[in-house]
Parts: sequence; C-alpha cells; structure tokens
Amino acid sequence: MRMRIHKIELENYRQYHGKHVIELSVDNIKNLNIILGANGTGKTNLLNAINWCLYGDEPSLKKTRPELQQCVANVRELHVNGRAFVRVGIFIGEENPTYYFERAVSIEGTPTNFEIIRRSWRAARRYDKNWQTFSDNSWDDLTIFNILVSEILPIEIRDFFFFDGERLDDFFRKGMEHEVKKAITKVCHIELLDRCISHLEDKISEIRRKFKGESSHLEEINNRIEALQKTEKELEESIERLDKLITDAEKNKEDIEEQLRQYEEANIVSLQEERDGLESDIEHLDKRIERKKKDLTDYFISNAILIYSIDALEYTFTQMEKRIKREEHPPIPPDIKDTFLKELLERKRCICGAELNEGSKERESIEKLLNEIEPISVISNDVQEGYFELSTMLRRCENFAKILEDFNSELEELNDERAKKAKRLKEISNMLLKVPAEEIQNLEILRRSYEDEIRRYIERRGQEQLKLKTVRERIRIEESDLRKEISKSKKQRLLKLKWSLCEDAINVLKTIKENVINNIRAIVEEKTKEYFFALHWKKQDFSDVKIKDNYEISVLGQLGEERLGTLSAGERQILALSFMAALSSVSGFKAPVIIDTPLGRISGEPKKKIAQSLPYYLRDTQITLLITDQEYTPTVRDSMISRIGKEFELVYNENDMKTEVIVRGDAK
Amino acid sequence: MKEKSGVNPIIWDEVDRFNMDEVLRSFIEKLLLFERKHIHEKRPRYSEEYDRIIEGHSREYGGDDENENS
Repeated sequence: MRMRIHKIELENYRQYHGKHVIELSVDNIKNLNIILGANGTGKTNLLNAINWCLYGDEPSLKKTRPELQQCVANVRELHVNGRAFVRVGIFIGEENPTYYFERAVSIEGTPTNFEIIRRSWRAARRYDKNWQTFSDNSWDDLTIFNILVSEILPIEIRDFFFFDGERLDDFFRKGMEHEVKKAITKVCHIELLDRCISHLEDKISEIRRKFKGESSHLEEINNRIEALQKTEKELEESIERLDKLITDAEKNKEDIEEQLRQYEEANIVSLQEERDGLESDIEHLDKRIERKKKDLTDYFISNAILIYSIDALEYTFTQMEKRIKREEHPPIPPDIKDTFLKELLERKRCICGAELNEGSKERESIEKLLNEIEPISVISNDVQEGYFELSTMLRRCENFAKILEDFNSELEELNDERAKKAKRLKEISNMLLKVPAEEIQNLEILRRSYEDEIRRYIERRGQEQLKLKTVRERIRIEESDLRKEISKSKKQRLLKLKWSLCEDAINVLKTIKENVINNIRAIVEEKTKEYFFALHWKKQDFSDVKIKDNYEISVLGQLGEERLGTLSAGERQILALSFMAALSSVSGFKAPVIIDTPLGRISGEPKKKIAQSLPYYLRDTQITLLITDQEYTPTVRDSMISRIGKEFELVYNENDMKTEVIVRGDAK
Repeated sequence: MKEKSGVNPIIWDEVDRFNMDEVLRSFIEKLLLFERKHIHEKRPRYSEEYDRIIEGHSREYGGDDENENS
C-alpha cells in the first residue's frame, strides 16, 4: 500500500495568511489531486511548505532565489503585527493517517530584517490506535523526527517524488551522467551497502592491530598496510573531488554553450541572414521603382502634348464629325473614290451594264466626272484619315488619366513595400548593434578554458586511478602475506574468525552492490522505456530508450540513430517524467508524488495524452499536480477526470496579500 | 518485515539470492538493518554494535561456539 498525504495544515506560511487546511484525496482509483493556480498564487510555495515541514528546507528557492530562504513568514502578518507564528503540519499514512509531522517558527521583524525567536517540531507515529508523540522546542536534535520522515521518504531520494516539471530535463543535459548515476545509486540504497563495507573495513583494521604483538614481522606488514590504506583513501577522495570538478566544469561549459546557442540561434545568424535578405530586396525594389519612374516620365512626355491640346483636338473632332454627318455646312464632300471611276473606264463597262467604249458619250461623262472629283476625293480622304487620327488621339487622352493612376498606384505599392523592408532592416540593425560581440567573445574564451580544464581533470583522474589500482594491488599482496603470517599462529582463533567473517562479508557486499546497481539500472531502463512509450504521442518515431554502462541516457530513432539531442522541450520532459517515475517505482519507497508545473512545456495533443496516461502509469500512487490554468485546459481536465479525486484552486488577493485555498468540490 | 525495515527490496532480493553461508547472510542482514536504522546519522556510534554483531556471528561462522581464546 502506498503512503498518501491526508492533510496539510498551513499557518502564516508565505502567501498563506492565517490558517488553512488542505485535505487531499486518498482514493485508490481517483489518485489525482489538482491544485490549480495562476503564477504567484502559491503553488510552488505549497511544495516548499511540504519540504520545509519534512526536511527543513525549500529546494526550489535554493536553486532560484536563495535570498528568499529562511523568512517563511507571511509578509502581511509581519507588517501588521511585527511578528508571525508560522506552522506547517502534515498527516501521512496509508488508508488512515499514521504519521504526523509539524515544524513551526516564531519570527519577529520585517521580511528583510527578521529574527527567528523560537523553533519547534512535533512528530507522531500511530501504533494501532495510539499515537506516540515526540516534540521539542528547538531544532537542535531532530533525530526522531528524521527517523520517522525517513521511514516514509528519506531526504536523499525526495527529489524523485517531489519535483518541478520544468526543471526535470536538467537530468539529460550533457555531462549529467554523474547525476543519473547518483540518482540510481540513491534509490538503490547503495549508501547502506557502502556504510556496511566502510565500517567492516574499520573493524578489520582494528582486528589487524590486535595481531601486532604477535611478531615484529606482523607489525611491519600491518604498518605498511595502514600506510597504503591511508594513500588509498587519499586517492579515492582525490578521484571523487576530480569527478565533482569534471561534472561542474561540464555543467558550466554546457551553460555557456547554451548562452552561445541563444545568440547564434535567436540573434546573430538568423538576424544577419534576414538583414542580408532585406538589403538585397531593397536594392531590387529600388531598381524597380527607378524603372517605373522612367516609364512614367516617358509616357508622360509622349502624351503630354496631346493633353495640352485636348481642347483644340476635341473642337476639331466635333466639327469634323458634324460635317461628316452633314449636320453642319459646309459638309465634307462625299467620299467618291476616283479609283472606282478609273476602274470602270479600264473595264470599259459601267455598273449599269452600259458599254464605255472610247469616244462614247457614256465614257466621256465618266471622264468628266473623274476630272471633277479627283481633287475633292483627296480632300475627303485626308479629312477621313484626320478624323480617325483625332479619334485615336482623344482615346489616348481619355486613357491617360487611368494609365497615370495605374503607374502611381504601382509606384505607391513598391514604395510601401520598400518602406516596410527598410523599417525591418532598421530594427534588425539596431538589434544587431545591441548584440554584445565582446560578451560572445568572452563566453567563447570561457568555454575553451572549461574545455581545457575538463581535459586536464580527466588526465589527472586517469593518473590517480592508475595509482589507486597499484596501491590496491599492493594492499592485496600485503594482506595475503599478513594472512599467511597469522595462519602460522596457533593463537587468536576467534580473532581470525572475526577477520574472516568481516572480510567475507565485505566481498559479498561488494558483489551485491554491483549486482544491485546493474539490476536497478536495467529495471530503471526498462521502466523509463515503458513510461516513455506510453506517454509519448509519436511513439512510432522511436525504437528504444537505453541507460548505458556509463549512465548516459540514449533515445534511439527508428533507424537506430541517437535522438536525445534533437528531442523537443516537451519530449525531454516526457523522458524526464518517465525516468523519475521509473526511479520512484524502484526506490522501495511508496511515497506520494507531487509535481509542480507538470505540463508547462507541453502543448496541444501531447498534453492531453500525458494527462490521460500519467495517473494510469503511476497508479496506486497519490499524485498531486500543482498546475497553472494554461496547463489545465478543459481538454486536459476531461482527459484525467476519471482519475481526479479532488480539485483545489489557489486565489491570491493582492490587497490582503494572501492566498485563499478554494475547494472546487470532488471532481465529477 | 524486511520491506518495512525501509531497505530497498532489491537489496534484500540480492542478499536472499546470493549463494553464501547462512551465518554470513544473517550477519549481513543484521548489518544492513543496523545501518538503515542509523542512516540519518553522519557518524553513527556503530563500533560497539558492530562488535556485538561480529562477536555473535564469528563463533557460529567458525562452526563451533567454543571460546578458545581472544
């Protein structure tokens, strides 16, 4: 059966002014509690309150705003009364509460200048129907309190049960293999095995010293072993220090690379590319605008004369038209073509059929007519041509305004486009001016120095590891000599047995330790993979999730290619959630899980999928989600509704500087 | 009972599965429970308790309970 938080009592803790009681759902099926609140309403501080009560610290503030640690009192209470009594109490148990933890402080002063005038704690454990209570008015000795807390969730592994969803993917940054190994080692309880081994080694040293009086030779060997063991310890410590230095340097290098990537990705490269594109576009637009202006000028020049003469042209055209239509005198002579008469004469036959032979009367009449109309025909022709010409000119004049308008509108469009691009170019230029080139250079120098540092540390670690190997080999030889010497002695049989027992136990414990680590790594790998594939919305893109021998996490694509580096923020969060769920499931502790901002980096359909799957894959576990309204969309709520036991809403009242906890009722 | 001791069950599984002398197994189990009880202490006062556990098991480990000498 899993442990569950039954009730949280808050009194003047940060935003929670006055007394508040939050009774969580402990239902087996409806294993989900929702605590909804906008940013700043106190979601993270609720998680901080739980940590503060159980462990005396506030991990999220340690990482983000260390200056806010310690003064846990409600600001309003301090302002109004100059003092505040702060208390957090938690009831935990399976079906019913069997543990109670309470931590309290009295604070005087202001939020920035305060003094803790009293600390107290209370812890209670229920056996059958009776509660056994322990308490003290100081935090100097919290032994019993810590023992009881560690029965539920030891501090070393609480990070796998109480965590911030947005910070999860720190696990999968480069150089974090050490952290993954540490996490696995913690949940394995390897510390217990290490402590047994270390204490047994101390006992063997004690036993060995008891043989010293046996012979001077034994004493010499003993002294040598002790000296070698001292060196061995120093080397182990040195290697551990170097491991830490390497991890820190890798983390720092990764941070710097992240900053450089931001400059590269967001500012420099894309901005420069955009700037180059805009410059080229503007150049092209300038050419088009120039061409358009020239065309306009040419058109204007070629048509301007018509425009200036339009009145005269229109008058002439009207006059000609009237005369052609014979509406005004004198009319334009009829357009009798002389070519027509000439043709009749050539053919010697009239259209009426009469013969037009040489010397005939009919022929003479036509010849006479031809002589009369020849000059009139020329005039008539010219007038007709002029009339049509004028008509064309007037049509051109009519179109002139339209064409000019088209030219202007095209020019306007081109100029608008150019202005937009020029504006953006100016913005980008200003942005690029603000990019701190010097800072980038300094970051690059720092990055290289960390790179050199890491190389140096790795080299030194290699040397120390070699020395350690040699020292251990020498210890093994010396111990073998010592055993031979002791076996010669007929005395001290029990001492020999003790030694043998301790030595055999150490060997067995070392093998068990190795097996446990390997087993847990295999189980965590299997469970991480299972959860990842269950929670992921595009599982067909992936083929495997591995935790390698060096604790590096690997996510493989369909073709066996490494995909860890290309996972989106949401996908990394899924991986981290899966890893955490796997770790908590193998930890041996059946503690509740509390996740702050669980879906912060995930959007759309994936959010729905996770909302559906998470409560199912962490079934039998009480899950409390501290969630924002952006995360808790109606779709998300609908997806998890069958698993929601209780819903609460945190509402912050700015005037009163306090948060109210509103029960939204059992989810139906 | 082992589960309630707060030691990761995977460790118990390994201890149970490991092929070893039963006295040695019982010795290791006692040490683990002792360490679990005192895990919150940075330097537990382990020495006397260890002596007691070692003393108790070493005689059996030798195959007899005769106190020859010490």
